[in-house]
Amino acid sequence: MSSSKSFNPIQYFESNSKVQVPTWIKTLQNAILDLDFYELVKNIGESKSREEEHRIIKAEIIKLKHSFSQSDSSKEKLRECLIRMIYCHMLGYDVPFGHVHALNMTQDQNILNKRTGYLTLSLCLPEQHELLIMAVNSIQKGLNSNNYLEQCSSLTALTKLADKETIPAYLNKVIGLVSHAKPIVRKKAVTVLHRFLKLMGDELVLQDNQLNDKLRYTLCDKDPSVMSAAICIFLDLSTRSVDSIIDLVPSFVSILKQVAEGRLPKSFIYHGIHHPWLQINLLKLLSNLGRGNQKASEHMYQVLLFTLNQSLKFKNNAGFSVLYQTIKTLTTIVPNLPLIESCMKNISFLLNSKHNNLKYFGIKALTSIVKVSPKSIGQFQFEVIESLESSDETLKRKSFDLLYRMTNHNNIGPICSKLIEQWIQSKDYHLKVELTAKITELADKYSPNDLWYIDTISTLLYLDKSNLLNPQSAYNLIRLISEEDDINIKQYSFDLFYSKLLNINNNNNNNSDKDKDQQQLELPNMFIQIMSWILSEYSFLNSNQYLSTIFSKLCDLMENENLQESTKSWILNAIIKLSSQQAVNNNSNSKSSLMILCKKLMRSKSLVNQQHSFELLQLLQYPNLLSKLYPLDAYCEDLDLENNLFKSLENHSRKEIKENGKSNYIPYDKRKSTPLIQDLIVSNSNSNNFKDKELNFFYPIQNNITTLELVQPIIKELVPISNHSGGNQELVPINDQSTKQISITNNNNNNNSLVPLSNPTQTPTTIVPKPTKVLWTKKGFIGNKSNTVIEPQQSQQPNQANQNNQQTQIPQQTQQPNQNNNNNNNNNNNNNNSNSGKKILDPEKEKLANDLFGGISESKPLSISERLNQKKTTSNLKTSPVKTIDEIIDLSITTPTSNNSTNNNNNNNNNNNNNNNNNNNNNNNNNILISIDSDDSNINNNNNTNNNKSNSFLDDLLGNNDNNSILDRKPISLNDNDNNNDNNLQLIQHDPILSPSTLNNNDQFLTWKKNSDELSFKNFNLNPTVSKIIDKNNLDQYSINTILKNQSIIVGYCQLPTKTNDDQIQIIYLISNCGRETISQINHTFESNEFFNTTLNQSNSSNGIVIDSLESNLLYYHLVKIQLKKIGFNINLNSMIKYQQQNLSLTIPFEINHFLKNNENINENQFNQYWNEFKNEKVIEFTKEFDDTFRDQLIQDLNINDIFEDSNSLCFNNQLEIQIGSGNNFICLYKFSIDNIIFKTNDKNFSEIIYRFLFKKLNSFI
Amino acid sequence: MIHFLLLLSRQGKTRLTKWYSPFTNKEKSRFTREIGNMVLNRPPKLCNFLEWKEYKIIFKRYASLYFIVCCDRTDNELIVLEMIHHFVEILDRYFGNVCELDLIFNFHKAYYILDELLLAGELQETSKKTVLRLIAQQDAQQENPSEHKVDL
Repeated sequence: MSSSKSFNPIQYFESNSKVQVPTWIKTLQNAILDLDFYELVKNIGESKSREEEHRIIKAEIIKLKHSFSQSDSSKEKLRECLIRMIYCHMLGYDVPFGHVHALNMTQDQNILNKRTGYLTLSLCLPEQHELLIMAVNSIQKGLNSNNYLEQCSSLTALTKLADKETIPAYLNKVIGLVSHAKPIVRKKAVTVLHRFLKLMGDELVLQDNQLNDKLRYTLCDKDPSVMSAAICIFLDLSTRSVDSIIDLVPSFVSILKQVAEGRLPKSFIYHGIHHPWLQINLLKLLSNLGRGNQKASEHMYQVLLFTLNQSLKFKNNAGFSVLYQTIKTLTTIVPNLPLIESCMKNISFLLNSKHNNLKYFGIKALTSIVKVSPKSIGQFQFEVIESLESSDETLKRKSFDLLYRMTNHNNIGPICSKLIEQWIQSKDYHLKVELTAKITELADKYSPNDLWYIDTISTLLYLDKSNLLNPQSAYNLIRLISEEDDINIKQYSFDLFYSKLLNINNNNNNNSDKDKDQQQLELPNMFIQIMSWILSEYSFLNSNQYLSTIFSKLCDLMENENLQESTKSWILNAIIKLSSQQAVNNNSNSKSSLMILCKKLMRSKSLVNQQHSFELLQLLQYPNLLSKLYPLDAYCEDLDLENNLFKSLENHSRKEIKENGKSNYIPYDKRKSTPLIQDLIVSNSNSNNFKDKELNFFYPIQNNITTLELVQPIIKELVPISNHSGGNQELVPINDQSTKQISITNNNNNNNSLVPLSNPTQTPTTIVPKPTKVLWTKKGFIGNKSNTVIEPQQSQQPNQANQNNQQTQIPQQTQQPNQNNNNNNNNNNNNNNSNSGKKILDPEKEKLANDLFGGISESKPLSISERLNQKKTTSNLKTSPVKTIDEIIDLSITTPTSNNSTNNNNNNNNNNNNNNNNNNNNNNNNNILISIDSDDSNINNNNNTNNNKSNSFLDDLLGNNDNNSILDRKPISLNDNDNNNDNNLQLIQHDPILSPSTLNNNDQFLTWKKNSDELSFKNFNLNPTVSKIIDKNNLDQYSINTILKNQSIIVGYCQLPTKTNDDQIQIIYLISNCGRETISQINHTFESNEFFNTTLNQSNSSNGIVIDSLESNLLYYHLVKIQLKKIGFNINLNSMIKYQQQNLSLTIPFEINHFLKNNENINENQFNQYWNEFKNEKVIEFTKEFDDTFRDQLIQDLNINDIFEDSNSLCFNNQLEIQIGSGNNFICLYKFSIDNIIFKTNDKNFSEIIYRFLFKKLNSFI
Repeated sequence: MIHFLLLLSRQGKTRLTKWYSPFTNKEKSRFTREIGNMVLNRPPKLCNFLEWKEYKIIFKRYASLYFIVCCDRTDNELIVLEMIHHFVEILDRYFGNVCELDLIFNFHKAYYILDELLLAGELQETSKKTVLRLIAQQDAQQENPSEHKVDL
């Protein structure tokens, strides 16, 4: 069908040709040539294949060449030939032979011939062709002509046929033509000037004031088309330098006003709109000029609004294009929010249009609005979602662009997953590049947490087959993981990459060898690099089994020939690191495979890899050194060359020098300051060898050719020390032993002299980025220069948001319902529902909309901390307040009254309103004290009816009785005995520094006795409450383990020795502020765990401690009860502490013996009873037969008391039977006999643990 | 700014090309093929804009002929679309109910019209009358070469 379409017209022509040809003959002088052209067109039209077309054109070109060579051919014939030539050129064929003829044609008198010549040249001549100079003459002639048509055609040709060199030849003439009588000539002259400006750049304008004036003059031309052409020039100028034309803003504004008002002649009306092209150019111009310029912008608002309204009069494309351009301008210049909001209803017209073109423009308009007024977007969420799922690729892309622009901390997750989804679907290279950049940028900016970041970037890395990802972001990933204190993050990323590694290889195993290669080829190099780094760096977190698997898989990867050499060097590095760990584990198995690998790599193309393999080969002989060079998890440690390496070297050589009576070593900087040194060196070079050595120190003679150039200069400086000290034994003699310590390989191989000194953190490939300072914040990576610009804005955000928050807390009625996030979303939904009438909404879409538009509706995107604050205040309203006295009172005992809860609410309201202001904190605390009174009275009342237990419990936990008495408040004391008063006195004596006000409310706080930062009860001023928990006279038994210590905070815990029967222990949890500034809002939560039940001595049972503010040098303590639920290996209590944007996770390691304690002695009957009941029996057979004494020895050496502090041994029937355990939950029974130990427990895991433990002990014993 | 304009038939045959930005011959034929594939295979009723490299493609189909314009990303697509329409309207006036055939056999005339309309990649004339008058004058000169002065 397609061929018939193009065929039909020709048939039509053929059938009519007989009729038509005579008329052609009449009008044209040579009809035969015309027929040649028709023939050509017809043949091309009929050709079915590319080859056929090619053949026809080739023949035609030969024909053309022939006609050109005939000198006698007429001008008309030549002209027709040129047209045929153009046709050939249009189809993509080179026609260099005709250029000269076209040039000749431009000299012709006949304007048609002239024009044809120009047309041919402008179409066929490539850029900057040498013939352009030849054309100068004829074009100049044309410009000077009297015929304006000739001038026009010359000017038209000039737009194409001028280059930098020939411009000066035309310039003056063209400037002259700008004031020509005919508007059409003026217009073309202006356009030509525009073209010249583009070619020459700014130099033309700057050089020539006359030109500048001329251009401004043309703005006032009485013919609008000339002015319109001039606007194009100014639009171009505005993108380059705003300053030069900023003074013209009022002129442009008035021009736009006149155009929009319809002052132009009727011929400029296009579909009802007055010269839309001019309007759009003017709008673009204004947006360039008004960007960031308040004054200029204010000029524009009125006319923009007017233009907007005018454009809406005609609902056609021209009108909409002006509408969009106006919105775009409004959002680009200093925004006027009411104006922008007034545009929104017009956008809804675009978005709801049936035609995709208009929808596309609606999305585009939203995209430009979202940067200025994100909350306005909310009402269109369903339209956006719809176009996201549109089948129209263009529309979809634009919508993704919109998504990208409206990303904030709330919706980053869903948006990024959408983008990645799109990334996977897309096949277009350019789009992928764009998406990759967008995703990484978003991840850097808005990443909600580290795990998410790791996930996102590693997914990208994994998918990124064509290396679109900026390597920087991959290295950022490494930086993030390595600088993270939390071991879980490291473990997580390890697991992530480990599973990927396994996956790849598993897939390969299923496929044939050919597929295997392909699959590995598909793996992006960058991914392999990062994977190998992470796996090797953090393999120590896991057992050896992983280690060897990784090792072998990485070795497999090395076999792949398709990998880049740089990638191989990463893998090699990883393998070296792994082998250093394996060396520790004495795994000799891998050694052989390493050797093979090294030998293979020695012949590698890459020098780096050669170097590494040589190094490794040597290093393998010194496993201890290897593990020193590649320490575990030391990527972020600073290498202290100055103090460790240099000093030790220096000391060493000093010692040597002394022993040998040589002159002393002069440090580098001192030497440099003495100007005579050079002379000395020269004059004494023969007699004084040491000086010679010094010279060498500066300018080492590189003996080894293969020395790695990449090695850091600092290492180079070090090289000669080892080289020359080893090689030149006379100069600085070093005995063998010391050489081994400093540089083992001196004797063996010069190449390796570098190795021992190479810096473990800067592992020899210097590609790995070295962290210099902390570049990560909660907001993402800020290390790059480009990103540092963003940082101040972001740091301001929380402040602004805080202010917002404060405002929102004040009377809610006066503000719009926008205040509340959720409400707002709902409102939007409602709005939208009502807007769009009976639109049926897919619940999935609704969910998507809520995800994607989360937080968009807020006037400002909220930062993480802000959201946390919000959460906190709302949760405070529900639960009892923190840090009030209530927390220590077990409310389950005292049954809270309404009185109590209202007080709480009051406190909370105060809290909220005052936003933790310090002054107000005092206020709060006063309130608390009042509430204490009421509580106490409550309790007092209850006390009459309830048991005494609650009182004593209260008294145990509350030190507030004392505090009350300080305030001279008549305490409603319950058990206010002498003892308490004593404590009170002591307290005052202990803490003279403390003001009463701090004391009042700080029964949960301790102070430091002296300037010590070691956590120990000896260093604290103990208050009575603590004194009740711990034994003051025997403080030594309480050792405090520090689990976190940084510049601002110390966290520690102390396990109380008392054990209860139900596998429960108590720890005192201590948080101290060791910084100078008060830390507010410390939030500490215990993670729920299968092993433990944690109970805080707090009225609510939530596992969190919240400290509103912790002043400098104060110590907060908290009693935590921990109950063992389940036994297992590595039972750790994990917790998170959050303060001041910091989010740290802490781990308290526990041993089971912390929990287990001796039961009451059980007698034989009971023992037997248990023995029969318990099922988890394990037996350890002794390999040798021992006599009784030996067995006793064994039992003593096993030293079960060591393992389980309180064990109870029973001796029945010549069998040693031991029973340990605690409470009723976990019991273990042993039977020792001559050749085995049998034990039974009531818990499977418990058995496992004891079995392993015993086995280990026994093995070591034997 | 407009970088180039293509007229393609529904079979992908080139009817007219005009390049305002410098490209090599190889690039030109590659672009023509690439864009032809994109545009001709695009289902109807989708929007008339395409993102392509760092440019934007705006196209419209008139009968069996596709008018394709490549411009900067910052350009307003709708107005470019209108520009295409403007060009077609002028062609229509000039040829009187224009069809593909007219453009095939008078493609140099189409070039002349285009040159009046678009100069150096910018639209320069919005008045149909002006364009048509100019072309008419040139045609008149062609018939009577001796007559040099024609009133506008």
